[in-house]
Amino acid sequence: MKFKFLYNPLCSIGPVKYKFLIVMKFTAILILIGTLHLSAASYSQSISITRHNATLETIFKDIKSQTGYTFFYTEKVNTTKQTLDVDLKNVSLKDALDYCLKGLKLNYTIIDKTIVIQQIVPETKTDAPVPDNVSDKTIIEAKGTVIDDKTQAPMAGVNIYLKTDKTVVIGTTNTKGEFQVNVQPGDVVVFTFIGYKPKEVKLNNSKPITIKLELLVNNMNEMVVTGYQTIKKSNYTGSAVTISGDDLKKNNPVDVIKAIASFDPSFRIGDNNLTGSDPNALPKITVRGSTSLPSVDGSIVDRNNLSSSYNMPAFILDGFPSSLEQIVDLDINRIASVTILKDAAATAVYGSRAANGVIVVTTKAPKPGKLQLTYTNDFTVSAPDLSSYHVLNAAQKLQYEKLAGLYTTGINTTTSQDDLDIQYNEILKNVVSGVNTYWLSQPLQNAYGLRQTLDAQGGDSTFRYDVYGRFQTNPGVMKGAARNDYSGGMTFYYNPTKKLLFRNDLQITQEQSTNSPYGSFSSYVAMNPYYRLTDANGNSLRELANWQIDTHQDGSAQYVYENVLNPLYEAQVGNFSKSAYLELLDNLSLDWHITPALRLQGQVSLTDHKGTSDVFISPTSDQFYYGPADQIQNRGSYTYANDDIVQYDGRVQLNYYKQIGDHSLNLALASEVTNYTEDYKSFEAQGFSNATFTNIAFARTYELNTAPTGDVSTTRSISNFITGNYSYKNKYLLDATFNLNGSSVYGDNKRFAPAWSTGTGWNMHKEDFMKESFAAISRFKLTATTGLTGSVDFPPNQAKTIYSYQTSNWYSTGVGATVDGYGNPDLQWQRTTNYDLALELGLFNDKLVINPHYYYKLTKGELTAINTVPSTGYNTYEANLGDMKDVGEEVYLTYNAFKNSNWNVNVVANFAHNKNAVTHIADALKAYNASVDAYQTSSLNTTQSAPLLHYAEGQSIYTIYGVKSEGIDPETGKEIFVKKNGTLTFTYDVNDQQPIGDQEAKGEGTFGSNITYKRFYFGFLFHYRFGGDYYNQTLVDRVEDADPRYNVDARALADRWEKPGDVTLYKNIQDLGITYPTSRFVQKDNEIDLESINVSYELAKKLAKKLGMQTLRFTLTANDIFTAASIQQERGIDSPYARSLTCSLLATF
Amino acid sequence: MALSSCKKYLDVKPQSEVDETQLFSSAEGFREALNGVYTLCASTDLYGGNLTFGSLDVLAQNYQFPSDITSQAIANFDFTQPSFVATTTDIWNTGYRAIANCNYILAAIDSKKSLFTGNDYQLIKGEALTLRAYIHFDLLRMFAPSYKSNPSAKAIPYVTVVSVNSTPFSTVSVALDSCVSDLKQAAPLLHASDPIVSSSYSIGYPGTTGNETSNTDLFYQNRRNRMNYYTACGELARVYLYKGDNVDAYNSARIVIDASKFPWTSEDAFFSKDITAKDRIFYQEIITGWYIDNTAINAELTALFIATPPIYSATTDQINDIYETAQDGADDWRYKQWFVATASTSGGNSIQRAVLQKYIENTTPVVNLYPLTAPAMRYSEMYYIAAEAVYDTDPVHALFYYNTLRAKRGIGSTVDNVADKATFINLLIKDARKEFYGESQIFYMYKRLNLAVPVSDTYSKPASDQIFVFPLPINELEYRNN
Repeated sequence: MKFKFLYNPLCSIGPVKYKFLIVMKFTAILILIGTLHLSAASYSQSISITRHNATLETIFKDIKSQTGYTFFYTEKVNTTKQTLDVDLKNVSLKDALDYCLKGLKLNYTIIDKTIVIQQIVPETKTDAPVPDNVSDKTIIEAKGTVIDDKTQAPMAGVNIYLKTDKTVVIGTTNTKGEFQVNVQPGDVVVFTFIGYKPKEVKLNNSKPITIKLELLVNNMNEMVVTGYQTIKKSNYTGSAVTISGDDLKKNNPVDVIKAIASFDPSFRIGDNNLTGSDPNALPKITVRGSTSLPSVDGSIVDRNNLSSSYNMPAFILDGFPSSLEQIVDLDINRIASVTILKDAAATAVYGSRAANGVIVVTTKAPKPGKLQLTYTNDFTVSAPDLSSYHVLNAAQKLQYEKLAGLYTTGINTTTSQDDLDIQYNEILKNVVSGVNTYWLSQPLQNAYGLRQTLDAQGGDSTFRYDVYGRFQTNPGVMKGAARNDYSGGMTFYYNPTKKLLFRNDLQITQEQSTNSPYGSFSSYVAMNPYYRLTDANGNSLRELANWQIDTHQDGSAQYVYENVLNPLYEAQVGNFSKSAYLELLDNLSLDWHITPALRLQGQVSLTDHKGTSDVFISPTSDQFYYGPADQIQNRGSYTYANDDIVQYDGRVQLNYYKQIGDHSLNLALASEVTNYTEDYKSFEAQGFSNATFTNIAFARTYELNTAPTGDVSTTRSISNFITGNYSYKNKYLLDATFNLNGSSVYGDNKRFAPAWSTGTGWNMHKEDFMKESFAAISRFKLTATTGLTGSVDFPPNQAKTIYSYQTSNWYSTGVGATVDGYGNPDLQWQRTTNYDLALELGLFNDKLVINPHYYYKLTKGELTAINTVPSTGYNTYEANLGDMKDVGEEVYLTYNAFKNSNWNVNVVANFAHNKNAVTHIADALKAYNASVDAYQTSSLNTTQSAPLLHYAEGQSIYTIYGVKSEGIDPETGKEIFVKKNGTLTFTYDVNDQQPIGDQEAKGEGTFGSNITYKRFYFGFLFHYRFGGDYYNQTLVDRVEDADPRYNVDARALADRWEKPGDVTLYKNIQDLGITYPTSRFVQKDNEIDLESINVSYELAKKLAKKLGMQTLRFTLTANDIFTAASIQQERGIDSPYARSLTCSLLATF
Repeated sequence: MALSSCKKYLDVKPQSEVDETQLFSSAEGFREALNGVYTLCASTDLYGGNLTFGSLDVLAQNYQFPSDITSQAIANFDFTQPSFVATTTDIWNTGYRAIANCNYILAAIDSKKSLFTGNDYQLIKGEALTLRAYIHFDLLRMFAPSYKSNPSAKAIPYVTVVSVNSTPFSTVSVALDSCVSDLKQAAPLLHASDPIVSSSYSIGYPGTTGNETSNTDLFYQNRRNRMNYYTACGELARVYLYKGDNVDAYNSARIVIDASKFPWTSEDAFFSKDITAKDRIFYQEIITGWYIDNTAINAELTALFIATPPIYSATTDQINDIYETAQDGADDWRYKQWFVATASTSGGNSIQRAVLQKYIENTTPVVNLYPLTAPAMRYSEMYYIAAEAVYDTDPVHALFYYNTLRAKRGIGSTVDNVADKATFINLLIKDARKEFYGESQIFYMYKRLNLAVPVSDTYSKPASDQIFVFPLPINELEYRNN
């Protein structure tokens, strides 16, 4: 073992107190070995030095350069404080040292080629009178086993020292982890192992004991995993947040992404009020604001175009680019750590993928030892959260309808008052007879999800393995929605020699997701409570009602009957929509420690992802309810799609890590090649006889007049970079990176893009003056970084002039190919310049750590669609125009409030604020604003009441645009608008639209605490947000613009204007017109929610042993427990939100 | 070295689409790009819809709209109607898109000359140039004042390069000169390469007469669905006549007439009782027609002219006026075969209406004598041009062309002399309106001659740029960068 190799020569130093200057870390030790090796060159033994007022340090350097001998000394040996005059000519090393150290209370020993300097220990101590116990000096034979704290695997090769003399190894564990040492009772011994925290144990008797060592890397605060290097955090200048897999699981065992978000407030999940808790919806994520302009056509990001979605950070799984879906579907039990890289210094190695941040995920590595089985069982109960829904009951609803004028001629012009009275009484009969259906609960269920993971690992120092399997069900609260995963894998590590490591990971994932046949939740919210669910015979009703609607069109088209169809009936006709994928992932890597300082790594990764999607719409579906009679044979449809993604990556990386004296250098040089090919095919079949025979083979024909679709896209990229991390005395830090990134998506003229970063840092707490003057400050680290990184948010063929074949429309003389759009050969990545300033302040031995950050991101060359004159043949083309900036602050706080042998109380809190602003937009984009205004009131716009996106310099892309409002006139019940010139009017004019709010929060973050008492753990985490604006669409859609023929929010009845003098927020109850965006519905967005509560208990070892296991742990996690918000809105439109409770059990055998 | 091999690796060719350099790396690619221009031209935005069956004939007062308020407003030359603005914007955008597609071919073809075998190079280049001139000329005729009204007025951009930078507007006369220049360059290329010039190429109905579809190479079939040599000549005649160059117009039209390539339609075919053998459109006389035989356009034509009620129809009285049935038009084959009188077809209005029969496609599986075609240029138009162009120097000859044409349409009586040119032009216009009904050519004729548009027996809309010049799309003015 390397450890021994280092210590054995030192053993001969003798019983002298000795301490390394450097922290005993695996990596650091490697450097030492390197130093020792290199110093073995031949040098002259005679020394000549002439210096005046020289520090000891200088003289040591002279001696080193002349003899090649290296110096070791402790912090206590202050080599800079004293100065001396030296004049030596051709003296021996011994003489020189004697001369220099004389009078400095320093002693030296020469071992091999190393000079160890020690302070001369005062005689009184060593020669103190032998205490009484010498007489009864007994030697006991202490024995026991050393095991890994987490895996419980026995640990071989653990060195044991006396605390009083760490230079002498008094014992080492054997391959079974057993040890036996001879000590005196009461001796404190220290167990050390590379990469583990040393453990001190007092030995009193010879009873066998079990020592647990804790992995150092587990303490993620200490190391930063960049995906290419693992760097000591104290020497790193980049902004990164590292979270261990266990901590993630404590916060949210079901949703990895949500779990990450609770640790870093700058990692934000876009609020998707539509999808709610749908397990099949993928989140939108931003890190430190946005760097891309949203697409001009307003198209939304859905599952299928995620790869090109905007502002998404890059995900790296075990060193290779991966998709958000892969991370979402990853077994949380397998995650070793997640690192969020944020500033340029941290992300520049990722070049053009880096501007939106990088999320580096590593999975657990197997540990050697005998076979160890780990079984995890997570059982989750989710219940729909309907607390945000307040709909009317049957009687209220009818009252509202009457007030809204549905039964008054003049307002409702459709028919005579007598007929209206009949209609009213018909419904009244239902209400009085007690029909009051609660439609909201109809499509919902309490969902029970289960995840079972079994993991087996073990092996010896040359071969380690890990085999695991998982089965997981994740049903949604909408009936029928589910996402199930089956995955399995095998990892092995093979060290044929100490210098060589082969590693292979093979992982297979089968995922199946099913969308709820119940459709959108909103259709149940809209159902009137006085409708019956079933007829007298208990059968589902299909048509619930039949409203006559005035379409305001001429002639016979003026009045039409609109059926209200029962969404529950539709849910039972046999529709289904499901998708599945099978993913095979293999990573093979080679790690060669050429010399202790030089390391070569080669990695190859292959991913094959085969996805299918099947959507069946039953012939009896509502979709065909109104279909023409001559198309009955074509009712029912089946859409099949197949998506095959093959991705391969290759990487060669050279790492150089060296410490020479006070200089420590960590260099990495890497080259990476990536190829991503997606092959998509789909077709649709039509004509099913019934919903029993749903196989596509029962289809009558292909979809009429269509052709199958297919799309193959390939993206390639090459990345070459060099990155270095240098530190002097661990005080002064410097990081620098240069990356040359090439990608096939860039234009022909801009194939390669350079990215760079540099960072400096100062560990001020290591300065003497700090130690002396500010003893309470245990850590004071200042860092400043800057750099240029990029993002590419455009599809693969954007920079090319692409011809598409008109295959379904041949001309008489053959197939034609036409140009799709202008391929801009100058198209390139968006360039983001980053600045980051950070302070890490630790007080009282790091009991309290405060970590504020300030950042500034300026993105130039935003990809925007530029309008051109149509006579060029194109209406738009893509170009890099437009600048945007994000400025923000983040503060992280951890406080170890209380600690003793039984108790440990930690408090954590964080805060983030980001301000986005568009700093420059192209003229063409300004013109776009005018077209948006026109579109707002156009009948083509199906959501005229929703605010639309505008671009204006100085405004954020999160700015809400609308007309300023003075509220509802109590006299008329009409809204009073403020025109741009300040005058008041009742008439809405889109040209008066201006910024009326900013959706970005003034602050957002989490706070919470975790408490350990003996084997109990209790943690909770709150999430908060304040200061932003929010356009409360619920008030518009469900109160003001609500169609009185359907159920509405309770406020539509309670709070609307009815008669002159009513002071209300909402317009006249009888006004059924559209409410265009106004400041009336902009509300302050303040919210606090209890995101998670976690309780766990670990069974005492003895008890666990009795049950035949090594450990047994129970955990209970509750998520999304309650929300207090300033805004009352319906949450989860298509699928409601859910509260969940997870019971976990972890057992190792 | 390393960098260049990296570049090579990063140059990914798309698989489900084709990138420009890939397409133009073979002669086949050029053929497909050229076919692509025709596909665009035959789309409903251009000649497969708007430019053949759309508003141009509405403006020429060929239809009446008792209940369709929008269409009636367009007929009244209200160019601010949103649907009219949308249509003209589509025409402009797609027209220039087709031109850009021509320009891609023309920009690449000269440097890739070595790829071609046989006459492909001349043929493709000739057709691309003709198409470029043809589309520009039609855009000019819609969006710019006529040459007669104001030859130095701002007209349209004549775009000959591929770029996202806007091309400046040309004046009417400069744009016309550009058309002439493209066509003059195209004509010799086509003359040397176009199979239609060969005496062995015979025109007829597909599968029954002629050999238009007998070439084993699809690309050389159906020359009359493409810009052939005679179309280039005919287009030159149109352009010359538009700018008042009667001599060149006459000479160009004579090339087509003298070739005797296009046989007049027989009475048997035109009046055939067998609908599979019935010629409803004078198919053999079409010098070039856009191939539009697809479901979408057929459905659109059905909605426009055939459905009950059709979107476009005239009253029976209106058709009687147009075809001068009270004078000598009652025998006109066109009158007899192109219209079916239908009672009460629209919104309670009981006026009898005449429904156009030109574009009827027999219900499957019964097939038509020929595929559905939108006429781009007719042999008969050469007679109108020749007659008008030669009148000043040789009125007798002019009358000969006029009378010949009418005889071919079943009108026995002849006109042997006319008082003056205006009278003669009036005769020509009246006949052309009959000939081009539903083909959108007559509007251009009113405009070219700057003549009032007859709305009814008693009222004509006076000629002016207000009624003849379509407003330019807003984007064309807004996003200009020069």
